[in-house]
Amino acid sequence: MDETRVRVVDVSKRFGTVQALDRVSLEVAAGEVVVMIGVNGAGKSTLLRVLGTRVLPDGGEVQVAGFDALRDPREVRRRTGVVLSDERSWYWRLSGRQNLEFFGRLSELPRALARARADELLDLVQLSDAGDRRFDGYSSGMRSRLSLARALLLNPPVLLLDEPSRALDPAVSRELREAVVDLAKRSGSAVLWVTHDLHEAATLGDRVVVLDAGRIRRVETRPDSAEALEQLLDAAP
Amino acid sequence: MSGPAALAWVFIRRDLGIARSYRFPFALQLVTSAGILLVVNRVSGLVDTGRSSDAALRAGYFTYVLVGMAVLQFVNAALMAFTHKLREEQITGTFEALLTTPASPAALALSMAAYEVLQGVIGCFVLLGLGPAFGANYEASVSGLLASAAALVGLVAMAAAVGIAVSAFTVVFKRGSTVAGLVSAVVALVAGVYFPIAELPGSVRWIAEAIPFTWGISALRSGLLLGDVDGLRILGTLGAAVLALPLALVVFRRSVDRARRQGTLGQY
Repeated sequence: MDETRVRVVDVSKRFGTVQALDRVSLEVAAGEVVVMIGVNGAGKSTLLRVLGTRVLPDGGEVQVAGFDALRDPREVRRRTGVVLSDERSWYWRLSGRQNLEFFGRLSELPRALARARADELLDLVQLSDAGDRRFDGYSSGMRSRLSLARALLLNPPVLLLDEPSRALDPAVSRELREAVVDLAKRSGSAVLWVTHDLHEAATLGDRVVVLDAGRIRRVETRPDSAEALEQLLDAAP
Repeated sequence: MSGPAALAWVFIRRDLGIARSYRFPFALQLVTSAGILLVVNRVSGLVDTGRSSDAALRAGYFTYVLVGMAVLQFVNAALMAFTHKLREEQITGTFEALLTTPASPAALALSMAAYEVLQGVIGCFVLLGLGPAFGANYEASVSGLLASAAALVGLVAMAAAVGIAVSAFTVVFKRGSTVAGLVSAVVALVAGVYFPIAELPGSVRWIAEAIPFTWGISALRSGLLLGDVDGLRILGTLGAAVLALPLALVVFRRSVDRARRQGTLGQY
């Protein structure tokens, strides 16, 4: 369980006058769930984008599943499952199954395998019955579950989740957390989960990383409670 | 089928699925094409072609302009499709999702618009196919048809190259439809779509002669309306396309890298 899946060393990123990431260093091991918290603009989503190769850092090293994100971005994307915070990242006039198959094909799965994988994942996220319904008829909870299914298409060793439970009610949110933790422990995927929900962070994370103004201010191993995290956030300069 | 062709097919299937979710997606195109032909047929009777030296006009102005308009169908489709689809994906939020997949940005750029370009090519054939019912007069031979097909391939590839270059502009500046519209207007007015370039004023004629679209349209007309093979112009069109396509892909890849550096990939 000590195999490093994500390795970030001194990564910086500036957008104009804003220092989004400032010499951030972080490692995530296989099977580990790391939760990132911080105020808006702290750099959480930027770090996920850098790891997902959608944003190029100004400096530093980024390794995902043993590949350099700057030199081998495609290899990194083959090994990374991403849940975007934006539920618009779907084709609303296609069914959930059609959407999954489409992204499966883009993920280099042959057609028959993409179809089989879509069925399997719809079953996993309990959307089998709604698989042929158009995406625009899905509830927020169903959309989030479908997002998780998409991230799992290639059984990736690294999962990057940007506020996956933002629009979910507490029960569905808990189900999603349990599913991801279970997956991480079973398959050994390293999980980086961004949230603003401190209760979620406290119950989910093997470690909780507090980001502020692009820097890692604290790393808390198995925090006691949401209140303890709130104090950490308040203490961040 | 593998690589870019397979990726293009994935996008075509996706867009076909979306088109099917609307009512009468294809019947409307047929009705529109027939309506356009009817109007052009009536208007073309008013045009006096007697003094022009362009041999293709021997087939009559209606047939002449029909070929130009058919080409314009897919040239416009290709010019607009890349930037239109890219912008649509940016606005709907799916572009960032596409870029989380292992597919390369350049392959995505090519494939994303495949359905609309294909639709444009089909629209071109629909216009040409319906033409005789409205009085179009083709004099094609086998060699002429083959020459026309080669010119068509060159024109589609050229249009795709320009379309991809415009979509690179869209990635960086977010709005590329104005540029696409400008190029489309230049092609329509200068490249011999509606009237022979011999009728253009001197300096404009020089520009027209330098545009590969002009060569392709002229070669297509020669093949389809006169049964002739205009080898030089066909080679010119194909050669320009062979140069332009990889260049456009490089420009697109650089624009994506620039957007990744600036963190603006998902913005619109």
